[in-house]
Amino acid sequence: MNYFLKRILEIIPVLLIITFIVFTLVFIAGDPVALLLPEDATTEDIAALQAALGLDDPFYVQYGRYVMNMLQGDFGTSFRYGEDAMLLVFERLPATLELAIASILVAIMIAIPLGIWSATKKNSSIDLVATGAAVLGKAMPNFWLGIMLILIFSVTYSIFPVSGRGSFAHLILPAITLGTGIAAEMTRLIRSSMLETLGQDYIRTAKSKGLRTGIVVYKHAFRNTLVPVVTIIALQTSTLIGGTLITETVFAWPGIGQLLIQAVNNRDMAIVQACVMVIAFFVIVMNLIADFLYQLLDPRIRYK
Amino acid sequence: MEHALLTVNRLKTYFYTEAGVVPAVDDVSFSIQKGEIVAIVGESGSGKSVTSLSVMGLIEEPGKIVGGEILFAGKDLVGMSMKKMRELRGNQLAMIFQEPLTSLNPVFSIGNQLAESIRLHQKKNKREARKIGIEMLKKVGIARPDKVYDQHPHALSGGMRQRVMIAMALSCNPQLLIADEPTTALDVTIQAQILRLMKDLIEESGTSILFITHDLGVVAEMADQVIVMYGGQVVEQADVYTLFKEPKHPYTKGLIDSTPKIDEWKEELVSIPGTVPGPFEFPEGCKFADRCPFVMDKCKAERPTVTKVGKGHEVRCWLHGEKVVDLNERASFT
Amino acid sequence: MPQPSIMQGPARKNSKLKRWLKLLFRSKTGTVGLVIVISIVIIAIFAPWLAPHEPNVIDPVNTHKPPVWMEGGDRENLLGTDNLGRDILSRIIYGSQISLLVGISSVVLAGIIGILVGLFTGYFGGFLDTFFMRLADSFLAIPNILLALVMLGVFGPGLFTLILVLGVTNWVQYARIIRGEVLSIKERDFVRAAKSIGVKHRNIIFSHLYPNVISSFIVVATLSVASTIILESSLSFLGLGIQPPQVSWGTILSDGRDYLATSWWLATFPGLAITITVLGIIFLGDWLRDILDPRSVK
Repeated sequence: MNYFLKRILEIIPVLLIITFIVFTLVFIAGDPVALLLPEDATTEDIAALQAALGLDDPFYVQYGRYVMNMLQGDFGTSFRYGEDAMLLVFERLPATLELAIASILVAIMIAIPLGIWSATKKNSSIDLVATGAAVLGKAMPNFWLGIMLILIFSVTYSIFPVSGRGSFAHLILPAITLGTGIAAEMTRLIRSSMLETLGQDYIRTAKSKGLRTGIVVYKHAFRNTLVPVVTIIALQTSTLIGGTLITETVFAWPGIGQLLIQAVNNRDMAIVQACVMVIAFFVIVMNLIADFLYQLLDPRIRYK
Repeated sequence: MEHALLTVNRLKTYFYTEAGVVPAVDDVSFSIQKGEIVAIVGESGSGKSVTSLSVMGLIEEPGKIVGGEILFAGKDLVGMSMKKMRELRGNQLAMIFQEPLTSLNPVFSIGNQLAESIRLHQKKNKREARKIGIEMLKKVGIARPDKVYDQHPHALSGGMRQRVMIAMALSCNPQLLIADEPTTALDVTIQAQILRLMKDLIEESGTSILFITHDLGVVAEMADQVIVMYGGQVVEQADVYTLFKEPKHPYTKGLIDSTPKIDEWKEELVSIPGTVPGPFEFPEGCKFADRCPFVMDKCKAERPTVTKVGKGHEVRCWLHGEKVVDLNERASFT
Repeated sequence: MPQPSIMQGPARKNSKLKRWLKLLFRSKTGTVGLVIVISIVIIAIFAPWLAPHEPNVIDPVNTHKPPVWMEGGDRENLLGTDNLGRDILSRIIYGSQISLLVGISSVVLAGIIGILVGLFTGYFGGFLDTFFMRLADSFLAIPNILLALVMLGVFGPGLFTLILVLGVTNWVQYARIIRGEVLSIKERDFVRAAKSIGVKHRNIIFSHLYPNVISSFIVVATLSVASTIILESSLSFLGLGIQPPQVSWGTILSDGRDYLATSWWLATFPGLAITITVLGIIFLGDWLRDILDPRSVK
């Protein structure tokens, strides 16, 4: 329990540093006053608005105010939409989560069987094909894969819609695009983790009992591989979220990624900040969950 | 004459590594009678473990049985179908391993792993398997077996875990138990308890044991027959009394002389000169030639053949090739 | 009886270079990787001579011309032309310059930052170390592409900022690896001996630690040139990376995306170019790992 508490407390400085990085970037980006006022505004008008918004305060005062506001749940107002930036992000969150979860499911469905299969048949042609596919998956840029899938399945054969969100059919191509990208790395990690497990003494014991290969592999070996696999999946969160940003753009998926890229182009820094904070928080929490699950799944740790 | 329970005949198990072919087991023959305890003695790299894994059919890539036969209850295990082999394994043919700490799967309870082979081979349901399992745990001397049954391996000590391994191996009343250095990883006091336990259980059930060890003390305590291995070959085999009283092979003699004995006072413990060569560094002729104090020209040139020197006593050494030489009359190891 | 079983003695000792080359040619993928990478480098350097056309010359008559093997294609534009009649092959050839330039220079920049931070924090430890590791945690919580996007939004797109931004987003992984290596090396005898005879910290770091960590850096750096090339093309695809008239594989792809229904080749070939290049670098990197990283010796 002590350990969990310690890990949770460690998040605080990390989050603080992130706010600092983000705030510094926003500060460098310059104040939005020029964008808020009409083009013919006088220097006095600008100074007045700056003073009103507190933008003429020194850096550290502004940063302090920024953190205090954030603690009260105020992440600023989007000057483009005139709404609470965090609310805008939350509106888009379900779409991104939907894509992320669907993609991770696709990745798991590909990577777990493929990783196990290629590990149990090491150096066979199946193994070669699987590892080859994994390397290829890593080498292909995700957005290109997405475009190629659109080209084949939407433009040429009209099986799935080109873009947008709505029906289940809309979800398939983006989920495959992002899922296969993640599956590539995941397959490699599961394969090596499985290979390590298969060399353990208890696998030999299981075989000496006359158990079928299937039971040896899927019960005895896989259950032990599960611990690193869960960690691997959780640690892919950062890659996954990074991937959604670009996959959303390719498929015009109305999630955080699209919102963020528009906001970056419009210099709508309130939304940018809110997006970064939400994503970073999400990644941190997932890493924490991975850590906790690791403890939970491994009885060797549980008994200590 | 009644058939032996296990007859290993000219077994050859080679490993095809990138660096070359390693003849881990090279022309090994021996047999085990019903109820008999046969020990295979040798240093690491002598091929004793590979021999036992060959019998179990657990040789893995890049290893392969390339010759000979393993007759178990009249059937040849070499080339037997995977399915038939699995039916024997854990059932009539059981094995316990050297490392109790790593030989049990850490994520499953003791009971789960114990019940596995009972349910598989004796076709029992979960409840019956639990009953038999707890009974087995009690038999191997585990206190509060019903509680231990539901625990995970990491809650148990090394000695306890080896008891569990024994319970697991004996749960289906095997005809042959292969014990690969079962006590090496344990404390000396625990060692004696485990050996005692194995002996008692065997006497009860009539199970034969193939006992793999490097420890002659354990051999003297446990075995009826002894097989001495060196460099993948059997260099000498005899019953335990003959072997200790009249060792014929210089290697056997060296092993015996280098084992401390309580009832004998010695100036200093002698040891066999040199170390076991690497897999590719064995000499051309007799594999022991470059460590042997009695080495002759012939030993370096030609691989020795097996000579029968007494009732059930065989030795692979040129000293006994044409005429029997009494080692005790010649210079000893110093 | 001769002994037939011992087929081969222990391998003879070769010179280091000879051993590497032997390992290279034994590894098929390593050879393929090296060939691809050398080809791409040659293509990038000699782009002005190799490219059949200027990459940005517009030809309003010959727009959307398909590749040579299709009906309507000709040998003038081997891979066809885009919506403005620009030659795709020439644009891809010039695009290799940007990919390699951004990939290599941002990795070098990230490497310099990462190696320095890793060496100093690992060697001195203490508050500095704690601070930098928390900083590293913070960077790791923000996906690379997200941080790069935001920074490009703030500083504006373009080649120079792109290199800078990718360098800054990537330093963390090197710092962590180098720090880990330093932590293990600094307890070894030769470092302790150097310390005990009063060698200056700076000299210990650069003459004892640095040479020992550089090989693991080279392996990771090679592989991350590959991922940086993908990242660059992604950012350029989003319109926040390379800006016209410079040509990036990402921007060609982005241009071609609007014409999927009519001109599939516009989006297909630049993607293939990225995939092949990245594949080559990954193969080369894996081979480098096999020869340079003693822990991965099989």
